[in-house]
Amino acid sequence: MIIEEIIFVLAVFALGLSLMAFVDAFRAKTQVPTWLKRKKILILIISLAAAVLLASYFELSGTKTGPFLNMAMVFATPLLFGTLGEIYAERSGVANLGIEGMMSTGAAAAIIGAFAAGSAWVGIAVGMISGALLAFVFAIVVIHFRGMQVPAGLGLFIFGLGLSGIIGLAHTGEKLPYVLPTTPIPILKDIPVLGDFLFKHVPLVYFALALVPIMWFILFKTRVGLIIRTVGENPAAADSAGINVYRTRYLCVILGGALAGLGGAFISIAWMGYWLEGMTAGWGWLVIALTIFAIWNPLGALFGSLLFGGVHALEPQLQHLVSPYLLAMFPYLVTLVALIVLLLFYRRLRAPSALLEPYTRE
Amino acid sequence: MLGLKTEKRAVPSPWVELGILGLSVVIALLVGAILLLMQGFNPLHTYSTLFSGAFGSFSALAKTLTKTIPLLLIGVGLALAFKAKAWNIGAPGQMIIGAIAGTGVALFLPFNLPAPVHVALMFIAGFAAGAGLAALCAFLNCKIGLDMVISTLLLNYIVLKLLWYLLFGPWQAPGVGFPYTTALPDSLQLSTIAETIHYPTLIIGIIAVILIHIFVSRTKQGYEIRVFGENPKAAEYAGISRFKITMLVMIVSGGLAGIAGVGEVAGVHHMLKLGVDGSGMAYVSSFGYTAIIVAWLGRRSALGSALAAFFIAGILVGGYGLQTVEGIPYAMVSAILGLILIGLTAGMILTRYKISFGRRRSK
Repeated sequence: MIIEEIIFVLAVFALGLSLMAFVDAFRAKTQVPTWLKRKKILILIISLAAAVLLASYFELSGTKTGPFLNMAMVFATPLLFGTLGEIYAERSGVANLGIEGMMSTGAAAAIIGAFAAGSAWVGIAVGMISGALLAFVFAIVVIHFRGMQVPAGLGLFIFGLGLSGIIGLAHTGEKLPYVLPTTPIPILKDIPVLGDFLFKHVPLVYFALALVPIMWFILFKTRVGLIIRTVGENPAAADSAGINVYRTRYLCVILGGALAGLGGAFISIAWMGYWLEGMTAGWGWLVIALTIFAIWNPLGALFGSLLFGGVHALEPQLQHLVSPYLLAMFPYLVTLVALIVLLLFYRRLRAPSALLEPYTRE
Repeated sequence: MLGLKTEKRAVPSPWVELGILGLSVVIALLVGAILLLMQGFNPLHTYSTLFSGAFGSFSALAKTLTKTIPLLLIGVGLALAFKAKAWNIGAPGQMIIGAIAGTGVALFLPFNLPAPVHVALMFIAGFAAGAGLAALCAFLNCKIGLDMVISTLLLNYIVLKLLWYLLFGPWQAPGVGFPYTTALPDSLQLSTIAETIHYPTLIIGIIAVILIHIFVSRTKQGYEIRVFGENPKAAEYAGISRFKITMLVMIVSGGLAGIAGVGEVAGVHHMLKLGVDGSGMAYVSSFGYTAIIVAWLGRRSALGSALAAFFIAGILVGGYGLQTVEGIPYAMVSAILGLILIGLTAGMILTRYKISFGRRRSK
């Protein structure tokens, strides 16, 4: 379908444009050299070329663009949940490297909850709660005990994977009989390509998409967001302004854990429909990378997770060209390269100043 | 509100540090016991089986020592890296790339070498490959500010997929459908004592421990690493080069991980195969991740890491026995190891502060 391809090209083009707007939005706060302005044209040309290449490839191989984008969105969803949560945690000054552990435990706990209660929705709630509980333990260690965040996060990663292996054992590989219904949104679902892309999903995907603007708005346009950002930038100043630094950090870290657990629950319940040990396969670490890639901005999280969801969805299309094992490298490799490119552009990303620093009143 | 009152200690107390180590292990085992109870296993019986399976007999000790070798090599390197606050989480990948390089040299060298030279070349190739991968991350970190946790970790997955590709593709042993290479020629297999302990690698490990211990405690660079690790910013003002320190510790830790990979290939499996990094049970049980706990439990010192490596190797061996004999999931080991690390991190505060419970003054 030629029409589909054209719309697809335009969509990717629009994505490139939004990336530029994104770059522009941050230029005010980071010192980007003037030569970068001239590179805007280059970004445009590259994204357009990539879109045309991809579209013509689809045309040749007979891949349908709609289903491809639909898969990309499904793959992007767990990453999106995790990244949104981690952005809040890191904005408040706490980097939780244990996302992989919380996601993995969330995935296992969700399956157990779903089997026990006979409902996929209960399972998802259990997954979220388990993620939040793990994050709470982590928060105590790094906030009250002022433990170093990197080793504590690594401990959570290893513990979480072990815990999921123990609790999930009884249901390994067992197909979950309760599934989330796909609920296409009326009218919108009939838009070509876009309908397949965004509007034919399980409700959780819509929830993830809705979270993006909401969490962006809260972080940048409300008093709550200002408090979170101040705590992450200058906790001493926040403290003297009467803000409870510890409470803010606890809430952000726990929110991050709940969303990571939700991401894991999405993988096991909504996407796979069963649980296997190690099924999160490093996606939690992609979340950590995406948080940087998004420059700690929820809008960037959407862009980043869609990009990597897209790369993952592309793998089966390329299998007759490249070995599937090399293809499996793709999401990680693309993440690494994308981060390098981004850093080359910016020279220095402005992470929250107090990131990794425990706060103490001294 | 009841809160913690803290008071800074002038000098970190070594007794408190030892206490924290013990306490972390005990708490981890207690939480593990709760998990075991919930799964319907008897914790006391489980733990006694675990420890007798690890240290209870001569053959058990031999197995434990065999697993100590990679943990020792990697743990000592990571201890050095962590001391300089270089977060090298990439040991699993560095170990696998080292194993790949070592196997490549063993199987595909176009000319013949005398066996001892050939084996030495395998180890050198393994060191170079692991060090190169780690150095790449150090370079990206210092030159463009790419977070080292991220780069080393993403490379773990990339290298793992590379291993899969090689073992299911070009390097697969002809005529078998399994993911492993042809066996190394007998002359290149390391000699062992007590059947499993490939002592050449163990000797390299012990030399590494001694050298790193002397380096950190006796040399100027070692002193700089300690200063840098305590306070990177102040160290840079004092003229200590971040680039040099990060590069150095990453090359050493990556290279030692690479050597550990070669040791597993030449000393244990005698071929390159999946799970060569010890991740036979689950990806997280790779020696590269376990060694992170070794380094922390060893208080990031070379000698301490050597002791910790032996202890943790015992848990791995005992845990493996539990899985095969009692049907207790091996994931239990990961859970306990993760808890030890969390406990150690939480306990660090006690080395720097005196803590008393009391009422916090109201604002």
